[in-house]
Amino acid sequence: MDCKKATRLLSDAEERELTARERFGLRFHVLICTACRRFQSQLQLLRHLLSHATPKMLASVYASGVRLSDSRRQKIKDLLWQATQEP
Amino acid sequence: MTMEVTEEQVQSQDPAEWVDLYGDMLLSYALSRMRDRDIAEDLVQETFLVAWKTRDNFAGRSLFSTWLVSILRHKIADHYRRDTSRATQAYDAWEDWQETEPPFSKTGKWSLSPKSWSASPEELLENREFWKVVAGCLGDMPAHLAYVFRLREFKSAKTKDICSLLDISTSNVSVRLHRARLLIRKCLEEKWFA
Ligand SMILES: [Zn+2]
Repeated sequence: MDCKKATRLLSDAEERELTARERFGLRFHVLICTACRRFQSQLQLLRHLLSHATPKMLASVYASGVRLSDSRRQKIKDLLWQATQEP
Repeated sequence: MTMEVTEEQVQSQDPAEWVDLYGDMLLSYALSRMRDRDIAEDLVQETFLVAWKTRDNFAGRSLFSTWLVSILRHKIADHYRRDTSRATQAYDAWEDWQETEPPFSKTGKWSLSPKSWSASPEELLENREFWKVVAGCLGDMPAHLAYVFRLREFKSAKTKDICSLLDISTSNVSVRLHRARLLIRKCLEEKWFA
């Protein structure tokens, strides 16, 4: 097992139960690979932080997503305004 | 699933308000399904116009935001039926790293080994600056990855619900989550733990 596969399994382990074979291979790789061991503890830290952060803190991060551009926003409003004027 | 809008607003009769309330949410949904921003914005625009024309069909049985997303889903499906050119291919077809720098060499080893993070979780939880960096890292991530990551890690959405919301396979969801996690750890390592 290489690091690419190992990190995929470390991530998948949060989504599904790994097979016995996968678990065994992963455990062995993580034992001998410092880089993947670090990746594993980083994932654990992230998971911990995201599950323990205050709702307010999370909401501020969550809201910082994609924004409709101002010009498009205005264009849609104009088109909708026209539509409201139609009988 | 209400997605970006956490508290459902009462449906307003003023459609301009819809744009302010739901425009960003609809665009981020569209960008989770396609990479062309202009087309995504066009489809969001069409969605609002259809919503206005068919507003009497909204029965209030679902959330207003869910109803808008269902219109957008139809628009996206129509779009893919009309235009199957490469430029607007669905993300499902991408199994490579073309949109991001690959973190692994051809032999499957880390190109740059992760570092050891010295961190006190209790301190980070309280640190506004840290969460600003997290927000920035999410913002820098390709939209289709960030969208799935947000649903999974912030909303604790189940994989199967993400699949049905985005019409993508389980393996596509896990690939996206894996990439998102690799990207966010890299970003945090550079911008916070360095
Ligand atoms: Zn490794």
